Amino acid sequence: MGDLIKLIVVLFVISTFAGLAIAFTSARTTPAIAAQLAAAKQEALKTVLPGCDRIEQRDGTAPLPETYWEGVRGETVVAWAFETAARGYSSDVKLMVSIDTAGTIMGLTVIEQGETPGLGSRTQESISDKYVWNGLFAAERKRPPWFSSQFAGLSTARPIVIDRSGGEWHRMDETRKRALTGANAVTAITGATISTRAVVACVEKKAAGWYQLLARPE
Amino acid sequence: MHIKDEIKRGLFTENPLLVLVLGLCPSLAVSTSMVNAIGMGIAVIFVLTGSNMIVSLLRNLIPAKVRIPCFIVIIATFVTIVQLAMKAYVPALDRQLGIFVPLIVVNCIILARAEAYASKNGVFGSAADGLVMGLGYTMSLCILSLIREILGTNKFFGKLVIPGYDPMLIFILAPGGFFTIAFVMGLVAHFRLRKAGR
Repeated sequence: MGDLIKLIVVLFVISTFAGLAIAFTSARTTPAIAAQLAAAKQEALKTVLPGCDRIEQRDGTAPLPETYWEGVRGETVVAWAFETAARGYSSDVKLMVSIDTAGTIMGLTVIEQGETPGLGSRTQESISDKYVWNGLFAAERKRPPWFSSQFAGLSTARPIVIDRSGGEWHRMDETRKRALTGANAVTAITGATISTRAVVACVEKKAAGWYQLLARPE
Repeated sequence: MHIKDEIKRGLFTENPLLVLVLGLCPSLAVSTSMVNAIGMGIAVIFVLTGSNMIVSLLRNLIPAKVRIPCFIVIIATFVTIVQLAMKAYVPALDRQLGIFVPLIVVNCIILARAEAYASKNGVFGSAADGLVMGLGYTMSLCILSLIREILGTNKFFGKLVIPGYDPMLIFILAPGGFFTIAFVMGLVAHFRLRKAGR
């Protein structure tokens, strides 16, 4: 009996101290974590709403029951940005998408994903043009991820086509890129068809819906 | 206890990953890039050293019957602290390692060192054991990542390596992980056997 009580007391005391240690760390890190998340969101908004003077948040009011952001240039609203998530291969691919007032996709950025490293994770890949012998920490101009940049300029009125005829977007010249955008097409990530399709389907479905709701004359 | 012997033990003769074959599962998942390997390595070194010290301090107070739950609570606490700190201060690394860090709790290296070493030795010895074992694990992860990142993505710390080389994707997928770990483990075993005169 005394033995049993000792077991219980020891485990109880250890768990209590463990709980206190975690509570203390959590209290110390919560503001920093919130700040990191907010900074990441601001960064994403700036990426999808380029050239806007102000970005204003609208909280779940009519006509759209979700939070969205308005990109304002001068005094006019030029674009709207939304957050959404596509069900990818092994995770939710969190996206920020913006549409301008003409119904064209202005920008898209992948905020967070947990797809297969080397395949689906390339939704966030920026192609580096530096070699190891340029130095490991050689300054590099920050390039936008190629996969999400192909969405800019696509129309929400037509379905988005996945093009697999000529390889990936980042290997193409400007003429070919313009032709693809004109055909409302994006290229797939090699070996990550499911992730590509998920993002495309999500954008296609959501963006058209949002545009319908927001662009409706008052 | 000689520092040199300890380091040799952790890095080579008792290397947790390549000789003791502990913690294989997270290693396969994480060893796809050098950045991940180093991040995971640092997290493991911190958790292992911390949990070894606490386990060693409490070794005479913890009754044998509840030692495993006690060890796991201590380990889980350290892992949670590491995770919160990563989220707050190195969010880029957290996005990469987010799902692997909680797995450190069930990484056999940590529990095995608590059980085999820290619960029988003093605080300083246990801290040193955690440190060298963590270093050994980090080194093994880096070797695996180096091979897999170059062959599988043609990159080293995100920079290109061989001009015009079309990378073999399989090396950063699970099968490539098995190939690489089998090859490196075989090489290590070969040198150990040769040294032993066989």
